[in-house]
Amino acid sequence: MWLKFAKQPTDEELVNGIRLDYPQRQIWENKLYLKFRYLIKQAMWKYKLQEDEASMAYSDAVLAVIQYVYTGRFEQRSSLKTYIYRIYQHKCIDRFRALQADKREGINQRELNDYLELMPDEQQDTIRRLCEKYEVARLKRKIALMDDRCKQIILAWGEGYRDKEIAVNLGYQSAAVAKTSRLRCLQRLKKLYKTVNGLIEADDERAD
Amino acid sequence: MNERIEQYFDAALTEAERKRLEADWATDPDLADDTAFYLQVRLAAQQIAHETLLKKKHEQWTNLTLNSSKPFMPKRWLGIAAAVLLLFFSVWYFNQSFQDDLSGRAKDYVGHQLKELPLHLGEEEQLLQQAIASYNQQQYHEAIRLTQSYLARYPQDVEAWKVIGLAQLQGGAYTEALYQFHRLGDQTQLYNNPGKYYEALTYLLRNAPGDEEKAKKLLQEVVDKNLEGKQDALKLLK
Repeated sequence: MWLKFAKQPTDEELVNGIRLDYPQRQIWENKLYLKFRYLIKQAMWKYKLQEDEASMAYSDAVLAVIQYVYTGRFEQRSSLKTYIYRIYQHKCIDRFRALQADKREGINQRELNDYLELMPDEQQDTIRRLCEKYEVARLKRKIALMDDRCKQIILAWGEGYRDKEIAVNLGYQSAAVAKTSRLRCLQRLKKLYKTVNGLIEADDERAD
Repeated sequence: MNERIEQYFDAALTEAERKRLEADWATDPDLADDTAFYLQVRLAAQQIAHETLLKKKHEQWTNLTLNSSKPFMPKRWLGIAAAVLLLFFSVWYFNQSFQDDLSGRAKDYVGHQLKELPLHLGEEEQLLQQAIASYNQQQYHEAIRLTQSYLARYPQDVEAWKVIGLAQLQGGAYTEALYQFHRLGDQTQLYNNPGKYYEALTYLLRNAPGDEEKAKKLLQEVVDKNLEGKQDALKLLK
């Protein structure tokens, strides 16, 4: 009689499972995480990362793969192993660079470019330059200082919820009300951002 | 905050509205500034959402691996216990098999190899020859009786000790046989003395607690001292 080892889920099973709704989806997300967990050790050796860094990068990669599988961006042209390995490599390199120096703003640039590329070339440079005025890291700190209502609505927006969903989840009367509230919160955030030691920067005072 | 900015990046504007906004960017610095702010806040909000989700999932998955190893512990100990138990029973079974096998082989040996004894030709040993003849006809009680008669006349005849011992062994009178073989084995002046070997066989056939060890010790002595029965002793000890 042959010894029977614990069966690993196939790519097909994982993809189909991740495309289910919660709570079933959670089971398959966990299985995906466990299946390629051994990559953490490899990354520690290859990128000289500490275990917690490599582990966090792996979770980040799994999260990305789950997102790509769920949205159908993963078209199964390669195996899940190859796919997750490539994404994990990028995540590790990002972590490695972040450890070398604070390159987070550089990573933000990649994401910003995705938006700027939608604009005409002649506008891109202008907006890019203006973006430098608003550091993402500082904006995050300012969001954390806002009241709960604004914080909730901005975070829900960041999670990708539409105004209709935000209205239902956070108890706004309608999608329109949720949208108005959100844009007002962004306006308040801009003001908060420009406030240094309780004072609004000179150029904004003039503008107001 | 101008709604058009968001609609532009969400591709919710018509072509005309889109062109108008692009033209306004060139002429309205506040609109351009709002656009830059909007994009950076959008990135910040996405990052916070991602970091929050990542933190939650990472914690959940890390706990999952910790939890998955916890129930393994008792299983591992159970596995170790099972392995030890298996090893114990294997040793016991092997030992038991060896014992049974050793006792069985001794029985076979006595049943086949000692079934017949050579007759003595000397006239003075006629009674002993009759005893041997009875022995060869499996009439062990008669053999014992005749040998006892012979021993009454020649109590120190070691050959008679052997014959009566074997007859007692074949008849199942192990304790008596042991006495005969033991005193035979103690005779050091004999050139060929199977006493210790027969004593070992008797212990193996009796197979009482401790007999096995005694038999092995005697067989080993037979081998070590190159006594009669050495080759058979070696076979039994294998």
